[in-house]
Amino acid sequence: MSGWDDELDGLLAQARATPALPSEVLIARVMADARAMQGGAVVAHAPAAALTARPGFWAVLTGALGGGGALAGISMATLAGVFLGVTQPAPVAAFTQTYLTGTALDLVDLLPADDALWAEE
Amino acid sequence: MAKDSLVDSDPLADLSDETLLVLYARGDVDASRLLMQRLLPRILGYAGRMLSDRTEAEDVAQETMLRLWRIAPDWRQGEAKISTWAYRVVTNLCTDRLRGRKRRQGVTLDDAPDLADGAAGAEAGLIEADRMAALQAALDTLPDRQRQAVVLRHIEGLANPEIAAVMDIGVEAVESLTARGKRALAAALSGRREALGYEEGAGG
Repeated sequence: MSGWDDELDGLLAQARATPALPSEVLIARVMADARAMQGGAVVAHAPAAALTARPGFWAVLTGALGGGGALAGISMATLAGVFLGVTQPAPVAAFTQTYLTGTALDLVDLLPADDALWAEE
Repeated sequence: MAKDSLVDSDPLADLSDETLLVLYARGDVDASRLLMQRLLPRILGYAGRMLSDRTEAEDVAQETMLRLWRIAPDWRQGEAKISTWAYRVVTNLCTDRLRGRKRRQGVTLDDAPDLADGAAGAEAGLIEADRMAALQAALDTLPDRQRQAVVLRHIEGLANPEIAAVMDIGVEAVESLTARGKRALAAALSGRREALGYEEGAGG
């Protein structure tokens, strides 16, 4: 019986050593599927090095700040700050002048006076 | 000088199946070709052993690869080997087809092709193709689950835990199926001993 088992093992090993060879037609069908499923993102060859390539300065900066949209927002906020600093609109000018000349903040009337409302009674 | 060395060898050859799948999802055609070269012969061979029909096996292999291409963008790294996943898909597709066959026609053992009979005794030893055909005919007599386990273990060369993952059963069940399957295979083949050309040597 063991002799026959050995023969069976030999037969199975022979089968293992005889791989199936896909036909050219099947290979073409499979590759056509692969391309179709990739959609529009096909490139001829993206080298493996691309996976480990170091990103550029702007890519790092943009990524750290949360992407291109976030970067645009930050830029707008910066420009708005510069604009306010340069043009000094009246309310800003009044506040900074009071603050810088040392007037106590609790004396600055930032809210509209409500005396008139109470005066009615 | 370093530029040429980049061209000399295929930079993809050393990459894992998973990395190739990621590259494919990013649009690399060469990665998909290499992945196909690695997987297609294995899943085609397995499907062929299960279905005993070249055309159907090719359809199953193509469908399995198509599902791989489809799942590529969503593949979860590290959860399963791609080859294990592929064997599992092939197993399920073959099971469906075998069930369909049995529904359409009552397959009996007598329907299994008796490929070796015509050549028996013509020469002292039969050519390799006949021996493989006789093995396939014997495999065809096994219950589906036993055939899956025997083919995965003894022809595809998978380890029992991987077979367990492919067949969605426990390792002990795999051991039981392979043991019973191999005994049944030996019994089926013993009737063909003469046809296989083992008569003189195996008897002792």
